[in-house]
Amino acid sequence: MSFLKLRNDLALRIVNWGLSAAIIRAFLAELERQLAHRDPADVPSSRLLGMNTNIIVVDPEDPSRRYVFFIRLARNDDDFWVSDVNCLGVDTANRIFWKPE
Amino acid sequence: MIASEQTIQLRELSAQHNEATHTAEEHLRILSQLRSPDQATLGKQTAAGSRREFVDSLIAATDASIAEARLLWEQLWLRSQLKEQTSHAEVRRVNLEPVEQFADSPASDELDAAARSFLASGTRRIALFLEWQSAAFAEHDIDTARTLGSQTLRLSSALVEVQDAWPWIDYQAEHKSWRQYVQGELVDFETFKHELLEAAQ
Repeated sequence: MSFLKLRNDLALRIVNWGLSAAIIRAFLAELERQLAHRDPADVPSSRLLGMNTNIIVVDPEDPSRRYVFFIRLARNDDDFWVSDVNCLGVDTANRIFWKPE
Repeated sequence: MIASEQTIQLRELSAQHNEATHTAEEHLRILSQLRSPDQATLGKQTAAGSRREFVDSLIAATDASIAEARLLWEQLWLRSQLKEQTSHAEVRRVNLEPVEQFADSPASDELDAAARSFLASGTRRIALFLEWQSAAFAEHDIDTARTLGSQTLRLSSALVEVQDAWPWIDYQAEHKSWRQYVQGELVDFETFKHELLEAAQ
């Protein structure tokens, strides 16, 4: 059981972006690796300001494309949770080729 | 607005803030007595900071639901935070003195930090006042509900004043985020993962 919680409408938002299943799986794996099993006390964030972090996923079907997920964390003493997620697709020259509509 | 004006404004607003807290704390004391058979024990557990222990013991001792127990813990936890922040404001007031020497300078990082702290604690306090006001209405305690309504309006006005002076601080986002937690608008990671994987197939 992980400590991490997320806003309950974020799954639907990400589904509506229409990303491939491979990218979704890679994103979930990285989110789990970075955050899901961390003790809230060890997450370097401010109780008032929370924390921003990024998860970068290389498209398994096209390694020249990366998806940068912007994660906004909020917290109190006992818990931390993802309060917002956004995403951009960038190529190897850091040009944006995709963003959510 | 120059820094010295911001300092004076912040001091005045802090005084209003503290007065509102006093009234709200009195209501919390009454609310806790109504809901808790042993406030002293609960207070100690809250001070220890373990929400799970607090919720478990409250449910065992009363017929409170998990949601009620969690809400009461939030209220008591917030009260301890507000006390901490009030003390912090006193320290901040002293620390602001050197800033006044630079009255003609643009707003400083110190003032920014004080304003941010005020906005964050103020928005949480409004959320708390609204919860207590609902509880007071439910208990037909109209006087308390009216007092809390009036304090909420005063605090909202103060927040608007500070927000006007520090427009780059997104206090609405802070407020919204906190409400998500208090209102249980969150899912655990396992549920999120399952929903996302299922939809992505």
